[in-house]
Amino acid sequence: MHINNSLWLMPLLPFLGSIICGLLHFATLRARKRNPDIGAGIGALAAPIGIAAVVGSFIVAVMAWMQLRGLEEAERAAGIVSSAWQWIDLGPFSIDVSMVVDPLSAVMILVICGVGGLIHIYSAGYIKGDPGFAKFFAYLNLFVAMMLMLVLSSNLVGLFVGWEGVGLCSYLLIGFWYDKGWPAEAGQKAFVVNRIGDAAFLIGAFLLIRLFGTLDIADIGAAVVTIVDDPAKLKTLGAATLLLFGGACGKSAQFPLLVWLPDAMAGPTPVSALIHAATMVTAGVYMIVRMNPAFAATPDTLFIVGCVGALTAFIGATSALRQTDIKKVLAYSTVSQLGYMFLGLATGAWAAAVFHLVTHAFFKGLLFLGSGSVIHGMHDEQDMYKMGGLRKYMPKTFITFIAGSAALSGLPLMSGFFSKDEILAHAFSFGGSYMILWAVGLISAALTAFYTWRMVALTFFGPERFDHDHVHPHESPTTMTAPLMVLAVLAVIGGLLGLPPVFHVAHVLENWLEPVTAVGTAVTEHIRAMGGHALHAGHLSHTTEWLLLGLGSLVALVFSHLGFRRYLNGPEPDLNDARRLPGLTGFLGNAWRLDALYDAFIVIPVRLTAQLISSVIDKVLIDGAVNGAAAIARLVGDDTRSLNTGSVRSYAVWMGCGAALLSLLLIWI
Amino acid sequence: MDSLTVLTFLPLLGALLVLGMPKSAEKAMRLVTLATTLVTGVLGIWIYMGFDGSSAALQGACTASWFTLPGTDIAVHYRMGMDGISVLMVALTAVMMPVTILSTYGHIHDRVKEFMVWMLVMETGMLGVFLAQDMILFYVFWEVSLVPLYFLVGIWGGANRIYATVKFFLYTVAGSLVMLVGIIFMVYHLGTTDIEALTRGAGSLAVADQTWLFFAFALAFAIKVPLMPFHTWLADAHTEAPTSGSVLLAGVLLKMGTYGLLRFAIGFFPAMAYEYRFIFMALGAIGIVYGALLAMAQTDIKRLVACSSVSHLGFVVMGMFALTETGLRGSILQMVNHGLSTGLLFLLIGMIYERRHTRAISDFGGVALSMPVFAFFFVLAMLSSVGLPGLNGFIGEFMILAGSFEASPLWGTVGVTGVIFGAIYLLSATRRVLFGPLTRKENEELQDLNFREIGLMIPLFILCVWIGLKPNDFLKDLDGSIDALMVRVEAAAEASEAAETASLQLSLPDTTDSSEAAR
Amino acid sequence: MSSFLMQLDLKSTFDGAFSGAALPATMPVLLLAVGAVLLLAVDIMPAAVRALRPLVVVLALVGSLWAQICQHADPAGPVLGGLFHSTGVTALFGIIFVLGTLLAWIYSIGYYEGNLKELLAEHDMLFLSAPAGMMLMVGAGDLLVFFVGLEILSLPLYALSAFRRARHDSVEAGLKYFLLGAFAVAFYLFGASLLYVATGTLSVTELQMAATGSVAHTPIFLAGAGLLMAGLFFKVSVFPFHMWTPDVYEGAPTPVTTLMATGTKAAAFGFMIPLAFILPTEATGILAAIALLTMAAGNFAALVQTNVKRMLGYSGVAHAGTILLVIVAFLASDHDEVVGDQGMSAAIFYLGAYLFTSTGAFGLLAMLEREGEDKLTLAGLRGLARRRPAVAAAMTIFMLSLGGIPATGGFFGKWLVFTVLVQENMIGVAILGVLMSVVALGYYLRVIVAMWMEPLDEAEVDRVAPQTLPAAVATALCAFGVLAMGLAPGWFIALLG
Repeated sequence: MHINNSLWLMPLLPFLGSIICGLLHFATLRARKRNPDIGAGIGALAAPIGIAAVVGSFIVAVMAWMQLRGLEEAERAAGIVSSAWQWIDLGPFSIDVSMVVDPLSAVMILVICGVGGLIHIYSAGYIKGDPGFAKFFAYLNLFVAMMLMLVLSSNLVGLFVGWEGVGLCSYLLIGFWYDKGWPAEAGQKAFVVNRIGDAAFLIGAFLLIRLFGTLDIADIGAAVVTIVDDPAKLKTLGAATLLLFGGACGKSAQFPLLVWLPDAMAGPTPVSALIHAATMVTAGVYMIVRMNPAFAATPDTLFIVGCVGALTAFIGATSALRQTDIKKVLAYSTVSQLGYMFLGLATGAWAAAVFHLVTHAFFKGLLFLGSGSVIHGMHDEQDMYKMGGLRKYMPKTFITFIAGSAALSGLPLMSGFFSKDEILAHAFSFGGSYMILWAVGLISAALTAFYTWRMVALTFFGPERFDHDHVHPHESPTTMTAPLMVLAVLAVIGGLLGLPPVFHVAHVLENWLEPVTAVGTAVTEHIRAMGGHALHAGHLSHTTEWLLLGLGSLVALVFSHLGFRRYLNGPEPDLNDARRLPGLTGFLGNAWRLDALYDAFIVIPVRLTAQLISSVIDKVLIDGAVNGAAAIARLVGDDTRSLNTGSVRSYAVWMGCGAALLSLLLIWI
Repeated sequence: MDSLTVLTFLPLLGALLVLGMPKSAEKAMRLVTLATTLVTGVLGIWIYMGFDGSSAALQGACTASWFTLPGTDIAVHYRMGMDGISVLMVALTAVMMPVTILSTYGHIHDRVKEFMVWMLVMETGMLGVFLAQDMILFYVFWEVSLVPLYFLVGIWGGANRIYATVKFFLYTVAGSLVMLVGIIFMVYHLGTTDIEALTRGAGSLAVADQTWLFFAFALAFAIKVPLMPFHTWLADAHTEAPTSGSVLLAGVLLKMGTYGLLRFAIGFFPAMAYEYRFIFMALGAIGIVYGALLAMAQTDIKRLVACSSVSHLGFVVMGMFALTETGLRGSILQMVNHGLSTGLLFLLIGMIYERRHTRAISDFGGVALSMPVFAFFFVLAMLSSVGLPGLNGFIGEFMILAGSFEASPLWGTVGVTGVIFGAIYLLSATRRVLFGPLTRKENEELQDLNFREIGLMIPLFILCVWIGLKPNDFLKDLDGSIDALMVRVEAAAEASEAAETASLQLSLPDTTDSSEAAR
Repeated sequence: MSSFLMQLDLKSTFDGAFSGAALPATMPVLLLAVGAVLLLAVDIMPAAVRALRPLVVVLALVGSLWAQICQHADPAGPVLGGLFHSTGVTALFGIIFVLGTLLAWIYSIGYYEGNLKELLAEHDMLFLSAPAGMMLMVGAGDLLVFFVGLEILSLPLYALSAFRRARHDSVEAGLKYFLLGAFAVAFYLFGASLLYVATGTLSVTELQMAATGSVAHTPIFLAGAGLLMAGLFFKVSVFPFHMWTPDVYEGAPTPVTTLMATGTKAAAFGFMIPLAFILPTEATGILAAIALLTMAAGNFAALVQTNVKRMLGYSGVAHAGTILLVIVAFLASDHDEVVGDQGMSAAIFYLGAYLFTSTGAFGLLAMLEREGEDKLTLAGLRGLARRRPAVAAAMTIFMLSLGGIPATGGFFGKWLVFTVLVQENMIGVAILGVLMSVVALGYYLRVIVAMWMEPLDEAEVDRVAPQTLPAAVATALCAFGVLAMGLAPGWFIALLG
């Protein structure tokens, strides 16, 4: 069957869903005016509608994927394209509203609609009873729609629409409980920090226009080969890719723009799961894979990407060590895991990055939902120090959470194990300066294992540190636990998507993405052929691979054990550390004090400049000049008037002198 | 009677009608005014629909002889007509007016008659400015359109209204008068007052004359835009003006400045514009950042939006003087966008001011709880102003930045930072007004928007989304006019490049001589 | 002296007096004179006849107006042996004078209170003589004829200024005007005699011929020219000869001020502009300086006035400066006839617009004064729009026209004057000039602000104004004239030929 035009259903269904839910929300508000204790009222309809919308798009996504599988390699590379209308006619060239489902976007839409659907179901239980019930689904649906726009668009501007659209939804959802105040601020911070990245992204796009005269991703990919032998243009391309990566830094919370993600935890937990773990934050990774030909042509950019990735992975992991808020732990963990993805991209291991993106969507989504279930059961308690021994109160949550933690900490054969190790292996294979990146990655992996199990121990084991009179932990409803189960399974078996070569089975994802990554590889080949500065390919012998796998598992196991053991009896070790070296604790607890740095070197200076401009430059200098002119005019006026003494004598004198002077001047000249 | 004349003078007719009505009949006067603007609006949209964007020729042109300048045989005509640039502005005016009138039900209760008369006179003035095709006729409309706003601000304005309105009037007139000397010079050296003929002939003037003329025109319009550093009158005028005044000021009147820059400063002297384009791009780019920082420091929400106008119009000017097709198209579209989104913001601020009688941001907070519908529309308007993709603002800013970057990566980049600052001040203002806890008693009792208030904004929001999704429906009107302009700009560009190279080859010390020769 | 009489050649003059063309050419003047005499006659008649006084005034003015219109249609040219000219231009000036007088006179109806009512016949008689003098001035083909006209104009005005004899300021105004006027006339006569010594003639046409020769650069000629001009500058109140203006304008009865503001200025310019050739081209700079200084002196001083009448007085000074620019252009063009004519028609248009504008403005002041607003200040105008919207509206139109805002006659007047200047490429002077009118708008706007934007004093709220039909009609006429010249300048330009 022909699916092209029905592709549009994917973003449209959730979009309509969000509109309907929005109307429902306002309907509820009106109803509540008349009868305050109406609760969700008609808004309750939002849940089925919202879920149905996402499930609908999921079905379409599956159909599209099937369709795609049916195609030849070559056709698959082109993907299933559908153009709606010519969007912006800039004059020299124009931009269409069009979308394409190729292997890459196919993976993304499946993850988005799949995980997204599960999270919708979960939310129905989680957000129940909130006055903004319908509004929540409206936002959530809008987000799915925008995310789909992002991954489906066939040109950078369309992508940017989704890119900022998801940013908006993140802004709205972080600030969902805006009446508390700080969530609204967190949302604003997220939006603004993202905007910094977006500005870079725009400039990058403009550079691409300069180079290729188009923003259509496929065309650019095809055109890259034609310019690689022109060093000047290649330099420009390097700048462009670097700036695009700047955009990715914003979206995917990479150093130095990672500060917004931890604050984003102010939003409801399902939001953290969907937006700040599974989908939106991976947009940066997706974008770079999308643009892989351009990035492949600029290895220097990629190296920077790698450094940033590794650094971020390390910052995230270390910061996670000292968090007491369970969601904060997961937040920093997300930052660090995203770092891995970028490290993967840096080695041109596009598939590996996507692989980790997918598995991460599974296990981190799972962990967030799990933590949500815990918070829900603990009456909105997020401080792990006030938890402990919860495993017997909420068994389902416990089991699934363990599965997620196992995957995150990369215990052998778990999904996270394979995806992370593939990335590290690539870094290792590059050797040279990449070795450092690999080492940093490995250390971070150790830390990951440690803080993961610290979290598990503090939450589910050890003495119960909560106050039994007020807090009665309980398991969450099925609407919430069911999604947990599904994700748990995925988190465990997700690794099957990309087993390492040593297992002598096909790397499913890599083969599937081959048509997309081929272009980038071709570019690399071309550059290497003409002896340019290309991405060097690394190759590993089986033995080395085995060793690396072994090392990975060893590190994971050892540090998981350490972390678990150390905190089995509660948080005392932390408190001791805090006493012994408060500086370090504070440093890590506040994520290397990045926020303070920003305040000191950016926020406050900008505020001061603004004040200076408005109260000095504008008021005194510029407006002063304007008003000064008027004042001077009045002064002159007073003087001129004072000539009119009213006395005839003085007038006569003026006239006499005037007449004489006039005549004399006439004679003079 | 041809349609453009009817369109222009219909409001004046309405004004006379209102003038004839007894003071007591306020309701009737409001209705008559509203009806007049509605009819004018429909007519304007009808004219807009009938416009053929592919041609550069004047459309709907009509000519009637007016008088002959004494001592010469220069015939001055009453000449109206429109090209792609004017037609968009006309449509914008036609749409904004009824909306504004509808908004006055909320805040104009004193001296209704005079107010309605001035509003209608103003509409005639604005339409005339965009449609006049004779230089003297244009100048008459140009200054006549100042007077109504002078009264609107001066009579119905805030506490500091008189300072604000006199400042506005004198500042603008000062610029216009310098331009007047330029106009006189051109009219008598080229022997015509027909704008098309002047456009053709201006290139034949000596370069020295072209230079000072260019700057004379540019100054007049730069003040009107206003381009930083001539912007200080705007903040005051906006802050003091009644809601409807601010809406029209932001929505249409400022566009007269950008329109003039394009039609006259650039249209008459493309060569000069090309030679000095970087000055104006720089001013535009600096204006973007400057205005944004200015807005950041404001404590009065209306003043904040006023300062944001400085920033947004910086975009327009920068894109215009990039003199690239993309930049020009973008900046013209952005004129419309700014009219819509800033107009909406002023409307919304007016609505909440009518309820709370304060504009200090600190007096609000948590308003979203008591006025959810208001909050919804406010956020929407704010997003369109921030330039969120999918809404109108983005299209304009994107095209402008793309075009500017093409001409000058440096200033283009400076302009891009405006995208960040815009988000900062608008979002934080939104947050401080709408979000957070309801701290004040007064804010809890606030009544949410009524149907009139919602209804009058709907058309503007529809346009915001429409332009965001299908900008080509509007950009297509520009094709002909912009192509025609680009031909002349490129000619100028080549000429000056040729001159450059020539002067290099001949190693002349003074390049201007040779560039004159080239021209 | 005797040689001078010979020069005059009485015989041919008297022959000319009875030749066909002389009568219609001088008819407008004669009618006014007859009217003036009649008024005195009527005044000694019984009350019933005395009641006809206004009729006489109107008839005389209308008749004179008609005669001028006829002259404009077919001018008699030089008559009385070239002593007097009646051209299209002089006729146009004549029309301006008569209209100005008529309007000013209408405003004077009911203006005077108390025993002054007894003297209205004398008042009107003087009122009628003034335009006669003006006509002689513009029509003068000879420096002496101009002098005669000047005196015929000035003496009535001296008297009229002091007409409210009970009032100190009025008398002071009259006296000042008289003393300084006499002083100025002395300059004029001395200048004229010097020119006579230099060239041996007093006839304008012969002077013009002489001016082309070398004699024009002899010190004596130049000194004469300078002093002559100084005398004229006093009449049009140009810096530094303008100082009397505010004092006299303020002290004189407002209808009289109206007449001075429009008529005298027009008459003096009407003679001065064609006479400009006596100034050498080198004087361009000096004249430009004088013009700009005049504008500055007028505008800046007006900016700080609170007394509206005084403010308008200063504004009149500024306008004189603007009109002076056409002479600057004429000199810059090296005495080019074409530029001279252009300048002349520009000045006529400007003066025509100024006639309506300033008559209307002063007239309204006269009207308001009668409502007790003596020594009308800006504060006195507060909230006028609430009390008398029509008056405020008219005043607004006049202010905008004085400020040269389009759609009013003032705009095109400015346009034409600056045109002449720009054509001579005096861009710098032009720009300085237009910027001066920004200053001017500064105070014109203050009037509008007071009337429309400032609240009405509670005391004022229920004060009802005595509606006077004549004044209303005159105001309406002025407003119409201003707008007509602004929206359809064609008809007036057509009159310029």
